[in-house]
Amino acid sequence: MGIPEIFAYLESNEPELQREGAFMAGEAMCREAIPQLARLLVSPNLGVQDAADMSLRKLGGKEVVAAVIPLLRSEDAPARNLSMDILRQVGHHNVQPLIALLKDEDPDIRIFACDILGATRKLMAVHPLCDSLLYDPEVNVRYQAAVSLGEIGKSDATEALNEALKDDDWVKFAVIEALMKIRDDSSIVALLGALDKSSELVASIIIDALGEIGHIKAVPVLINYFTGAVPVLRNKILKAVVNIMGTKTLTFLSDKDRVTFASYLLSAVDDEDTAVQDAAIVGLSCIGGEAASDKILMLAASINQEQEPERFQKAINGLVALGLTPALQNSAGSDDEHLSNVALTVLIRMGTPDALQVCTKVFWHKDRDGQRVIARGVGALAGKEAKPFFLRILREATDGSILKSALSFLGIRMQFVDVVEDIVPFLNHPFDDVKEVALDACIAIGGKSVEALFNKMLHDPDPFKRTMAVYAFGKMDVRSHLADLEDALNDEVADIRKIAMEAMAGGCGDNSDLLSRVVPRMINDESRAVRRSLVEFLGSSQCSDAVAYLIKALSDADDWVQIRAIESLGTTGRCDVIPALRPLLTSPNQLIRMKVVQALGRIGGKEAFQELLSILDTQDMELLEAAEQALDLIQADDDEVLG
Amino acid sequence: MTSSFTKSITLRKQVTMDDVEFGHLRDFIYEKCGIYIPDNRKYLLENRLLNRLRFFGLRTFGEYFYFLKSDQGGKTELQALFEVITTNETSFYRNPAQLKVLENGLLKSVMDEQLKKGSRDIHIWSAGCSTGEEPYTLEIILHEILNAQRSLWNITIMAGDLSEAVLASAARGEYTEYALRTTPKAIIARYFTPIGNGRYRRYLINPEIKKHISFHQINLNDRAQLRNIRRSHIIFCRNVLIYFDEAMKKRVISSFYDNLLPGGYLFIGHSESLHNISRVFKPIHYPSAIVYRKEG
Repeated sequence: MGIPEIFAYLESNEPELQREGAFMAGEAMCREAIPQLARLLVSPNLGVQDAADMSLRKLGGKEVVAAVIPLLRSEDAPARNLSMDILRQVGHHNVQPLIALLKDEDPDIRIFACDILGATRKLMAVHPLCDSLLYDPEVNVRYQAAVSLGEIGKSDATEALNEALKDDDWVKFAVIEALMKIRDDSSIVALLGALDKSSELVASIIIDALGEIGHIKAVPVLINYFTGAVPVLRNKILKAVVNIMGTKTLTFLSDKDRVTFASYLLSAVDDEDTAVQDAAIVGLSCIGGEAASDKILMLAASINQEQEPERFQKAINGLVALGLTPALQNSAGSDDEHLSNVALTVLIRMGTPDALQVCTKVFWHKDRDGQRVIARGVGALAGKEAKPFFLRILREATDGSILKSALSFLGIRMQFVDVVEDIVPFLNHPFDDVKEVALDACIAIGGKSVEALFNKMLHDPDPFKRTMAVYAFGKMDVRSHLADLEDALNDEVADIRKIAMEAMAGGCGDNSDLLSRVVPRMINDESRAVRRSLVEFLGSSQCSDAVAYLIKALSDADDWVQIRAIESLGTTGRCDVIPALRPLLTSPNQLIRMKVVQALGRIGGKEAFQELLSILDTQDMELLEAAEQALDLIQADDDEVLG
Repeated sequence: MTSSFTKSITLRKQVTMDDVEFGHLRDFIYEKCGIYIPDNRKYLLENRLLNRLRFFGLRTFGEYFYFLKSDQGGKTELQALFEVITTNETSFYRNPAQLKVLENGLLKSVMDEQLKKGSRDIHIWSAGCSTGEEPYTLEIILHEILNAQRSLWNITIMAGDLSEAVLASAARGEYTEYALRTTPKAIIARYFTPIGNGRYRRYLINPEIKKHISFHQINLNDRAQLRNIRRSHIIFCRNVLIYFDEAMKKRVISSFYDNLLPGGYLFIGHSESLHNISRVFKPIHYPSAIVYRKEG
């Protein structure tokens, strides 16, 4: 849509056309339409307002600031609020006219200006806002100036904010919040000085601020204040002290104070403020004891893990620090699902034999999700003592995830030789992922009986079994099963041929006889997956014949076979492969072109350098960047050689 | 061999996704469908795409990114990518409080408005319909409310999703017991036909429900495509906005505004809100549910 059409739409009487025009003005970045868009902010149609709003935000710039500022004086409250919001987002493009509004006769405009300047986060707004904070006659302007200084968060405002602690309580709230955000140490003394002279409400906010700023200088004063404080303030002080001191909180208290502090911490767990609860957990985890464990368990069970993951973790950390208490053991077996899950999470995090034993004891009484948690956790951490537990799982459990944990523990982690017969039936399990873990478990255990099993499977009519056997030989010892793997290259199933090829690529690239037998037969395999694996095999080969085959693979019908061949040729460092690579610089596949460029960089030398120079006039920016990097690589190598 | 076992098994080394590859893939996904993958979901993307790498025999996620961008495979692979990045956690009769609003008066008020205009046409759009549970639930509700009068009304439900695979599943209309976990037994008996036994038991939606619903591949990031969708009286877009960042949410809600007829209603997920997203709709508060109305 052209500019005249945009204006025609904007000036239409149809709201739907105006909305469309407003969107188009934004999409076309039509700055000429800014005044018109600003006018549409007062349209009675919300859809039109919405489109003008979105486009003005998108356009931004000083013209938008200038066009929207007059609407701050509008009598239409929604339009005024909308313009405020737009200026909050784009005001940083031109703060001077907004600073000028701080001297406006209308106090509402001064409040709006303070608000918007805070959102700009501009340092140049700090001093004008400090002036408003200290000298504006209107309390609401001073309040908003303090809020905005906090939002900007620059320490340049600290001196003015400290001074403003002498203002009305209303302003003081905002000042303290601002100081808390700025976190300048110089505020500690001012805040501590204001503590005794403040109402309980203000004192409570000061205590929060001191806790947030986190300077140790505040601790003795807070402890002194603690004794005579009302319960609400006491919990706030507990929170502040724990926040400042962390887990060392209690070490500096006398024995008597510690007992008192502990009882207050226990009751603070029931505080409505979750931040107080969190601080109580940290404090209690230092004190220890059954009562602390019980309280934190109940609290953790009441936290929604998905909505408050960090709080949940804090509670878990606190419980782990408290160790294996009777409360924890009882909770693991509880019918209360939340409580039991918390206890199991803690026990697994502890990971000690005693803790894991509690988990295995309750396993068979838990639902599927609980059993999964236990099986996974115990499987990853337990020692050989868990063998009977996992063998029972293999006999009795049906859930795939639980079975995988058992197979993984018995076979992959512990490699118990005598459990092969228990694992083998799972090679036929209906779930593929269970099959895979059972297979890896057998391979990890290894030994003659496992090898005999796979030898038998290799000739089984069932292709699954043949696949497993080929995979297993590829993992176990390629060289001693080379003949079997070579036979597998004749298998009618392409995936089996592919795995056999992958196995060879992993361990016998230096065998020139094998190369001469295998490659001519496989390079025309009907399966591209097989051909890709073959090219990888060639890439791993040290034999001189491999290069000729790789060059042949450059004409393969499959792009990925070509790509693997290019990569492998790049690692040869041989200049005589450049003529074969050159035609692929014009491949329609961008990745192929990029790979050729990278390969030229690796090959190096004068010819590769010239080839790369010839493509520097490309319009493809990614290819150009790759070419420049390749040239740098060649130059760096030359520098290394020369000097 | 019909199993995926032999396809997934490989002797290649396990691949991990580095931050640059994640950044490229995240930007690509955002550009194509508006879904934003936050940093803490990188592991999820890595896990879910690993099978695609294995399938193609790719060595790195960077290669996969190039593959997606290429003309050779990118267009078909894009669908596979969409399947991987969208989760399909849904069920019949999900969030019953919202459905009650529809049943207990909202639908009737839309019908009354249409009758006043001399029309018996109503169009409902189920945006992000996944495997079809939501549109089928809506049609079942229509049957329950209208009974024999259902045939007197031309009420169409258009169900759309990004993923063709889930749409194919939706069109089959075959469900496990799990999908029906929040569905009243009487409803299951009336509108589903059980097939198979034990672990293989499935429930087929009855053809009389199926015939009123059309399924379409719709990309909510494609404004041009959205503008061509028939205008709706009611839009359901529940638990879809959570996949989007704020800018995309604004674009999608703006498109819904354009699609809705004056006086139309928008349902979003019960835990979702239009706060800070859009002011164009009027929120109407019901017990345990909020519905958004486009003023006439």
